[in-house]
Amino acid sequence: MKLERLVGIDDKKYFVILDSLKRKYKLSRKTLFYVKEYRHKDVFATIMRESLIILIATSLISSIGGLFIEEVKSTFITFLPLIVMFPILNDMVGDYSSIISSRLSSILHKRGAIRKWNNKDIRDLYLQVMTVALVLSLLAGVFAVGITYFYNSRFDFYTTVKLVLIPVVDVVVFVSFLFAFGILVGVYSYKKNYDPTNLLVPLLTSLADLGNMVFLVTLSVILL
Amino acid sequence: MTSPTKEIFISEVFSLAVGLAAGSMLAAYVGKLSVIPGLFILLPGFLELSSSVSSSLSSRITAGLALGVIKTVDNKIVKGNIAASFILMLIVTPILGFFGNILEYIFFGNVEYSLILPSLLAGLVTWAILVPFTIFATFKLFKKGNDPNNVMGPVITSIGDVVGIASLLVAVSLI
Repeated sequence: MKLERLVGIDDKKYFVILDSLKRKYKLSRKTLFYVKEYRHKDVFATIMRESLIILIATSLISSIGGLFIEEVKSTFITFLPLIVMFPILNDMVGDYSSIISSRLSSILHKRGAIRKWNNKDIRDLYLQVMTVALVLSLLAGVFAVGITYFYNSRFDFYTTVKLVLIPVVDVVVFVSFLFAFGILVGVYSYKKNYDPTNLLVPLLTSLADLGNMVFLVTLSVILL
Repeated sequence: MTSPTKEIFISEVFSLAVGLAAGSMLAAYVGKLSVIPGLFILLPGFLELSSSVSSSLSSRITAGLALGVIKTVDNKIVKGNIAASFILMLIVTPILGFFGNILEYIFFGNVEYSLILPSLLAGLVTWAILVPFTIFATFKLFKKGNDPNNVMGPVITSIGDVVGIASLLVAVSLI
């Protein structure tokens, strides 16, 4: 009942009281906003209002990435392991971009603007992500080639090696690029007094979605 | 292996295993992929949409559970979330299909196959599978004392890929 009364308060009219309540009782701003957002009658409308445009935009951006694959569809169909690798690499790079963006944001909050690129926290994060990326991308390549062997998709030795190496090169190069880009943007946003989290997370994940597909296609066309 | 590396490794191994299942499904239906123009354009956007809708749903329900404003599934906030996720799929999937057709026409000159209906049908099938799973898993994890935010993101993205690809392949086979 108290919650019902709290969420019924008019934000704009009682802004000063709400603000002092937050300060006095150390209420999280997010918590209060959450409670305000979840006035029962508003749940549906709030989600629709805040999600629709961003969902359309992010899905369409990913579809543009798909355009590059459509362009080299015949290469992907001829070299079947590329089709098996596609959802794995898409997922993997997306996951790494989320890890990099959230952890870089935390480092920036903790340490301030980083002056040296070989800062210990940065180095540790890069090594952690790269160790996992190297091992799993290699496994992805081996499994993709192995699985498609049963679909009668067989290649000579050199093509097989190239197919195994494509996910490794893709993940290592592209994740390194995301990392460097994340540091540059993160430090810049921190210096400009923006919260790096708000910029890094959407920027790196969108870049990963679109960029990885373009890079994978380019790599496949060059190597195969 | 250091602890953070181990944590990343474990979640990514799961991602790899499920991704292999999704990729194998795509490879098995390679014949369909080659004859339907625009399917590769539609696919990444469709997978992104399915994962985003379910991840946000899980995250909102987790926040509600943590704040104590959600106690059971039979709750106005949960129902509002379910309805919103349904309508979002209903609106965005035909737009994606239409966009796929437009790009296919502009860049490759193909107009013979409409992606609107397969995209819509696949969206509804994905919603019918992913949303109940998301709600059930979020409640279950929270009740067991885990933070669903740490688990549900990568799980939904991976399972969303399998369900999304399967739904899309079924939809194009039917239509």
